[in-house]
Amino acid sequence: MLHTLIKNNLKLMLRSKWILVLMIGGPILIIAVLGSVFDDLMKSYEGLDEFMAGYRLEDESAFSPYMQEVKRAAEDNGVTFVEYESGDIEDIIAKNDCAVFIDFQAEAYIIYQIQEHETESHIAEYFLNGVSASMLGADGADLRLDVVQLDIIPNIESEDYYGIAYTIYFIWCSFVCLTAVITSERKGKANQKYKISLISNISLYLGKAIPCALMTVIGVGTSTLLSTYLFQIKWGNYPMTILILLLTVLASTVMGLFFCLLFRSLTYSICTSFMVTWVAGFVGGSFETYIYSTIDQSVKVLSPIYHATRALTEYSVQGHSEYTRSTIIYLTGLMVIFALLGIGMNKLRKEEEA
Amino acid sequence: MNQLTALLKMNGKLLLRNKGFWGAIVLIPILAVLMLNVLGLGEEDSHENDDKNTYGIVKEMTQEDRRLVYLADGTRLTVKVYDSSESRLADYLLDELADKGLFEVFRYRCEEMTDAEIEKAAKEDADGDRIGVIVYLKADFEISAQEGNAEQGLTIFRTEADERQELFESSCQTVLAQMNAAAVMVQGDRTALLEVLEQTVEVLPQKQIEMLNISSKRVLNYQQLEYRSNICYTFAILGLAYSFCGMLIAHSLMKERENGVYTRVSLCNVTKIKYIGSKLVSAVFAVALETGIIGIGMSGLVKANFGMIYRDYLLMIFFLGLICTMLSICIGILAGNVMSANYAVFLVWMINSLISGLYFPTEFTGWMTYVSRLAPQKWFIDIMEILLLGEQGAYTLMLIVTAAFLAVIGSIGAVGLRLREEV
Amino acid sequence: MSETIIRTEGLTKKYDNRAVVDSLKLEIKKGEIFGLLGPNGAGKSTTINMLCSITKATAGSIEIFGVNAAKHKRKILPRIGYIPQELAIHDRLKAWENVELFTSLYGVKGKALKKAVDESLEYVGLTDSRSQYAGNFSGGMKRRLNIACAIGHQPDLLIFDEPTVGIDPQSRNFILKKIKESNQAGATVLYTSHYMEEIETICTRIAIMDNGRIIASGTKEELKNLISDDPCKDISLEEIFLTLTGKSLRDYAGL
Repeated sequence: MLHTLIKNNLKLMLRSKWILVLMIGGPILIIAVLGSVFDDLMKSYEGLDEFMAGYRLEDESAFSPYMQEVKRAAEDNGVTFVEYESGDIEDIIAKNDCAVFIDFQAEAYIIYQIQEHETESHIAEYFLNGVSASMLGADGADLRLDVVQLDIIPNIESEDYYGIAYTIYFIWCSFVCLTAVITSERKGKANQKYKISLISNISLYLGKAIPCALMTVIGVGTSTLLSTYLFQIKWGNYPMTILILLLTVLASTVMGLFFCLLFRSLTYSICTSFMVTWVAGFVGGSFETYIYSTIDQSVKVLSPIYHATRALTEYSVQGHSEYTRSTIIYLTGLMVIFALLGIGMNKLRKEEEA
Repeated sequence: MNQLTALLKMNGKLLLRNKGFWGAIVLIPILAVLMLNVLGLGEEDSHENDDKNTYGIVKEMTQEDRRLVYLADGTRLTVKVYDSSESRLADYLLDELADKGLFEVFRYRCEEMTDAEIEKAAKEDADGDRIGVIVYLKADFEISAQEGNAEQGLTIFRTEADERQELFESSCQTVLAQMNAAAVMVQGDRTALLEVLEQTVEVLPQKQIEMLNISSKRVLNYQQLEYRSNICYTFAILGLAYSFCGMLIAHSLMKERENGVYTRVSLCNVTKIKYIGSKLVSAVFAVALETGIIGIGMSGLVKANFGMIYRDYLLMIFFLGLICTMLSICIGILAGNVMSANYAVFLVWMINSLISGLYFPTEFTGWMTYVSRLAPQKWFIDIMEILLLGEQGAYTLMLIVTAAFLAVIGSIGAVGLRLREEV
Repeated sequence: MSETIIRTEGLTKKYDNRAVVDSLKLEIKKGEIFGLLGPNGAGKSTTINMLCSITKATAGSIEIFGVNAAKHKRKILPRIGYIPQELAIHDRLKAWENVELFTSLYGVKGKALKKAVDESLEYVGLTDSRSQYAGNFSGGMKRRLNIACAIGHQPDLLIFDEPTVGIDPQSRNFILKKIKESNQAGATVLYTSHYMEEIETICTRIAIMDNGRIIASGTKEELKNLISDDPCKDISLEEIFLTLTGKSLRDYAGL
């Protein structure tokens, strides 16, 4: 009996095209966008390519006697100095591919920067500062500084982070597959038929929960495999990752099912579930990374998405995580609580229709 | 009463009696207001007068400061300094380092810390923020400097691997060497030491930095960027509310087609244009009502400061809300059934919010730039920046963008409706 | 000679090359209660949809009130009251609001509108329930409200498409009584149903439809004569119907 129910409900879910599009296409699209947007913010500094610096030199400038050495030293450091004796500085920069322009005057030097090449400007500025300092003859190479290398969690690349975050987020959104079954049941008044059949309350509940979980595994599993291949996402500890993802699937299924049973109107159920998921995701690092989020830690830990995202992110970069236990406990707890509530709600609805 | 009035009356009653409608126009804005309180909208910001493009100046941090990843400009190595020395020699060191051009120095004045405490604080910073180097200036830094051993008065913590860390350490060595040499010269006299160091700086050629703006990009200062970020969050949350409102109207349209009410209405000689028109006019009223409620909520509960006249902010969300609502109605017509329409509306809202840069600035290149322009929110971000900068043309752009999007949405909806009927 | 209210010639409707209504010739005179009888999928509802301009005919012509229905649709529709099979009412509007809405869409306004709403509700026996939401009504009450929404503008032609589906005998009796009253007041009625006893009770002329065509039409006596030579033999309409259409099942999926 249960087996037939699971089979039929799974068919109903698989025949809903929009759900499959959302579950498979959605994560891939979002990972591509966010990975691209946050790439600069999250990637490690890689150094700069060589660039050109325009300059103008007054004869009275303090740099005048040393300009040839300055140019040679700059060349060794990837900066090519090119002189422009006349012309509007903005024009020179715009027309000649100069990242920065320096006007060496008698008592001062002016560095003209543009926003698109700020990094290059800073390099040039640092270089010229060094030249100035060398005029004083100061050399601190012999000084021994007290330097400590911190043992920190390595940095994660944006595509890995958002690959992980959106796999988890879309698992939490996958309750939508239940709507295919519930809409059909309500339209066809199937509940009245279930009432007079021999099927138990728990079987009816599992008849929805199990297909939803299977559908989530199929949909999000497909998109995870595709996105891992396309974006070369590094997952780290595979057994624990799979365990946490499976627990997330089960927790999200029972929570979504609870909301579907709680409200008579499917629209309210969907709205409530999406809002809860969105808030949990917002707080838990699905949009802005949890790493840089300024939301208070005491608020973050309320979100199951935070625990799972953090655990999987730390697996990705260092193979282990302090958040493993809290993630497993939290997800298991949610699963048990919402399952019990859901079974109770299912029984209540069944009796109401009597 | 004429037909349009009768239909408007019908639509109004149906909407106002729908609990989902009140949820969309009241609950979601309330949620928005609560979330904005969590984000600290309207609170005084200690960096209100900061200009992110200030160079060579050490920036002071307070305990309430947020992550440096958002305070820093991202083009220089971020350096966070825990300063427990409270000394002018420390000021000199940090000013010199900040002046190098490659480092952005943030100072947090603190009490003296033990080695364990500073290492714990540094590790927390390193794990939860984007910082290149963390420096601890010990309480006895000034004494060490006076004795000619300035390097003993500080500890440097390296975080993630970054080749600029070596340049930072090299710069530290240079400045500390200057300080040690000067200390030897003045035999530890603090006042004389400071004078010598200041004179040294004056001897060197003076540096000036000029920022040129040769591109057409708008440049916002730090405070304006804060306003931008907050307004974008409101666009995101309220966009969802407006989209759901449009969904409810589309739902009524679909329901009326299914249950025969539309057939009956058309048999009353009501043209399709009048019928659809009545739905669209109802949508405009719903958007106006929702905007009004948001206006009251924002000004009453959050006392938000958006850096622009409140009327301009409400105008922006009204027009943006109009586009979101109409888009949802159009999607509803094309999808044909409630469930598909719900998913489609949510997906479109999510993608639009992402690609337009509501959660974070997006600087796409190539074809993605054009794709992002398909999101109406992207245009409203431009309008917002014009208003923040006090430039001309915001109202005109707002009207043109709204008219253009409504025209396109209306056309697609009309074609979709025609195709659906033919099928 | 009585005026012809509805006349169709060669009326045809095809879906995917399958003729659902096939060269239908129909004539309904003024003052008649004309019954259209047929098995499931015979084409009754499609015929009505074409008469009301809800669906476009593939071929043929329709004349209503003496004018071409396709060309003069806007002139004809205000004189028709259509009561569909499905309940075309708003659950979230009150009874009087539903009637007011659909009556006002015909251009009735002001005091005339108020009077029309009151009279329509009284006509269907819903005056006491006028302020209740339609969604809270029983099936029979909804059917009566469905009728009230179609008669407020006092149409000359009433088209009923199986108006008594799923309601109790008392409500059905009431509706049939009111249809007769409307007819006596001057309205012409086109009535479709599966229930033979209803057709027998109220219709002055009956047409039997099958496979998109009218296979027999006339008074009950005239139809009886088609299948029996004995004028004294008492034959029910059901027997006539089954004899003329056959007893095999009709399965039309996808329409």
